[in-house]
Amino acid sequence: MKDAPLSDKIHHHVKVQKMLTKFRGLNIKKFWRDVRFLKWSGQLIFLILLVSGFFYIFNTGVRNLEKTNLPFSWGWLGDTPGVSISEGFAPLPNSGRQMLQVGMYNMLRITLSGVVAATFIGTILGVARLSKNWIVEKASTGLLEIVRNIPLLVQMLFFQYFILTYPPLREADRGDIIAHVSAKGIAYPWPQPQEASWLFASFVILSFLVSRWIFKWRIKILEREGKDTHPFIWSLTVLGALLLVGWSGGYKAMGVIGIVSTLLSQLFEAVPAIAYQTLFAACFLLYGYRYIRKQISKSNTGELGGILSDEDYFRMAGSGVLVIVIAVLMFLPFGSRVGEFLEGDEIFYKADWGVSQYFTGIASKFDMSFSGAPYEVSYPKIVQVRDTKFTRYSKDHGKVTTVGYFATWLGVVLYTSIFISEVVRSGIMAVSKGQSEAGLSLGLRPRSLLRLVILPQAFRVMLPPMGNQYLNLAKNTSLGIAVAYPEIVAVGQTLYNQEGQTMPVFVIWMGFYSFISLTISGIINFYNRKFALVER
Amino acid sequence: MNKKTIISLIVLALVAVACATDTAAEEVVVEEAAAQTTLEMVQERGFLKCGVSGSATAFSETQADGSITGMDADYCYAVAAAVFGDYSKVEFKSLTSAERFTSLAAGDVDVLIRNTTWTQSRDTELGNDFGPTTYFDGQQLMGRNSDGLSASSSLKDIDGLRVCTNAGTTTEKNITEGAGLVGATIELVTVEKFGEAVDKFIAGECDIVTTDGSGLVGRRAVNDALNDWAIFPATPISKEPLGPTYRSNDSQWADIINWTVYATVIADEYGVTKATVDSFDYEAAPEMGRLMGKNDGELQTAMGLSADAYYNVISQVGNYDEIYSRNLNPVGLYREGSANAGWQDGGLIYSPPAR
Repeated sequence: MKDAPLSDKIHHHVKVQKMLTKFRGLNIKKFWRDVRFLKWSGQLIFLILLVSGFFYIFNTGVRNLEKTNLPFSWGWLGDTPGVSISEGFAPLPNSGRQMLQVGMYNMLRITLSGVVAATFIGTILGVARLSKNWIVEKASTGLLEIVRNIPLLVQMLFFQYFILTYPPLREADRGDIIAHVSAKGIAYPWPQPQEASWLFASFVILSFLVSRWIFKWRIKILEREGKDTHPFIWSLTVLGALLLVGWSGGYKAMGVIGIVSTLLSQLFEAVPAIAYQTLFAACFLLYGYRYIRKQISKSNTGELGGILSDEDYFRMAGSGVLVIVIAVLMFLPFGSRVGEFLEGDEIFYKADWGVSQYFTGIASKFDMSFSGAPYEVSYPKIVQVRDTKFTRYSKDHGKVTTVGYFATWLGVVLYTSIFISEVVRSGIMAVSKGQSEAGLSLGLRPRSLLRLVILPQAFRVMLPPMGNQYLNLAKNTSLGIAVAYPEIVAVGQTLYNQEGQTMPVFVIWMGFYSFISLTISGIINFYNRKFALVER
Repeated sequence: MNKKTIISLIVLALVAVACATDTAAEEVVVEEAAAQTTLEMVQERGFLKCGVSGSATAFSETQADGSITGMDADYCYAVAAAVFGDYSKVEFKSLTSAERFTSLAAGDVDVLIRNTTWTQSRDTELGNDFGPTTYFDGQQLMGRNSDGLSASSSLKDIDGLRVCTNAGTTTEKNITEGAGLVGATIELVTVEKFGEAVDKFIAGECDIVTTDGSGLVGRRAVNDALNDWAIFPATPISKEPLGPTYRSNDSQWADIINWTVYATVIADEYGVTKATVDSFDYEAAPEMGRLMGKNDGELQTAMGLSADAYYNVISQVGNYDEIYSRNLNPVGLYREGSANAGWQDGGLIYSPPAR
């Protein structure tokens, strides 16, 4: 080596380097210097530390509870709490589990209607803030400043006491009414679903889908032939016609769902459970396999050129595990035969999934022979309680909103819609002026300009902060406890006071709120990806 | 991932391990601290932390100047007098009924004297122990005379009505069970504090309000200008023995609390009051002499207190009758004929002998 010429030396060095690069992965001697080993072991150690940290905290909590003679247990879920709840589907829950479900139901009731209402009001307020009309603009700004600067709790308490200032129900109030407000709550008319309501509702959904399809079809022709095909007028006409046909009895066509469900029910009745369990499991496995394949093939064409990133590995491993777990779950009995499953005899054949009952249930809602108006307006009524001097709103007439529900609902809706209005305003203002100028110079009418140029771009900006507002709304419903609205937190508190199990209730609270929040953000993320700028 | 990141990750991991070992060491210290008895803890701190309601008329009411008065508050003063010889060494903590047991278990308060009902589940499942009952209460309902209710109304009369009560108490369960037994369907609205329930009752959102009889009488005394409010049924729908509550498995602290209450009862039996405690003839009543630390054979030092601990209680706070009359008579609750009369008068207030 010593005497070898310099060029040889360099040549040799390059050769060694090439070999090293080639066999880097196989170099057993110095595997700890391999970046891949270090990377993965580092992550593994971090994961172990994280998990053991959580376990340590949880364990400390459980041990401390044992020290205070309060051992951690889930037994109370089955006990009868013996406490009634003023709102929800079960006024007298028969188990702790059902009581929590009532709380969750009450929370979801406010969250779902609240999200819809807050979006609607928020959008109007946001547009009003941009209005050129001085009064409209100042009024909405004033409302924004008032609501935004007062704590939500104070607002809720205010709404509660505001309703409580109304006079109580008196004997003189008895009789049929259209709407009424008193310290007992707010009563108003409500469309009462009749037996054909499911048929009609599905018909309405179908009508909307059809009119949307018509709209797209007209747009297609417009783009191809370059002449105005009036897509809006077309789709609205079709929608109106369909709804008219539906209301006058056309909804019976949806009885097809009932017929198909009956057939499916009979099919699942005839086939042994193991057959469709296997089918479901196989479907999930196939789906998981295809998903993983897709990940791999995607990365091959990506800029990394066939190298999978860490996230790809994790996603593949995670979805693999998830799919296998779901496939195994398919073989568990979810129906009424859990006991036999636990006893361990004839597990798979007796596993009663209740799939056929599920379809029978659907079939009973979509019976073609149902007739009459799908909804009837039911007006509230103020009645006497038995033969006493007491007066109340009838439970079977109209709709009655309690003070607690009203205060919580209005509180979260108003508070959230104010923030949504800011999101809407900033979203619209984020679209640069050049965009509208460009649209105008193309000859777009203001309406088309808004629909085709401004809103699609504004929507993209608005989506992520909108999701945050929905999350806030869902979480703020927990303040309902202050105005005697029995949502999950209030109900959980009552439960742990009866049973003394604080920790398990906290675990349920946290799990429930995480689930709701992650679901909301999952939906928002889905749309966010869908509307994201396509980058090439 | 470059070298820097790896190194920092490893360092992070090491720090995490170090922290974990640190907390393990701390844990031992905490366990040692937990071995300290409540009495030592209280004496070291120099004042007693007493959990009360703060808004229960005649039991623990927060006054305009921030002080707290009432029967429960007086027993807090009595415990402080026994431990420190100075009744004023109390820090009151106003607790809602929902947070009281958690607060007690966590050590936020040393003793809970917050019109708390002694029940089997609270005694066993919740990790508490209960002292002697200072007030025998029972749950009742309150409605309006103008609505056709009266003191002779019964649970059946509330069928179909909306009832308000406060959360985290036995009252929710009592009224649900009681109404269920007579076949009455009620709509139960649960609020955080009893005051809110009364607000809703006054506004007319609720037809009926229910809680312990003493609370209702207290509220009626405060709010009822028109004498329109009726309390029923005559026999309460539940037994609500109210008394001090402390953490279980600390018998020294339990003894101190229990005998503070008993001392007030025994003093009442002998007729020893705040005024006569110094002039009383202890030679003639050796039991009283022992309890006050005036004679030989006193047992207070064996309990970890000073010999004159209970003398301080009587001289600074008073006997049971004084505490009761001072706080409950003004709202219309009298001992005569009730369960809270002394045992010689047919009541349930009774104490084991001090010897």
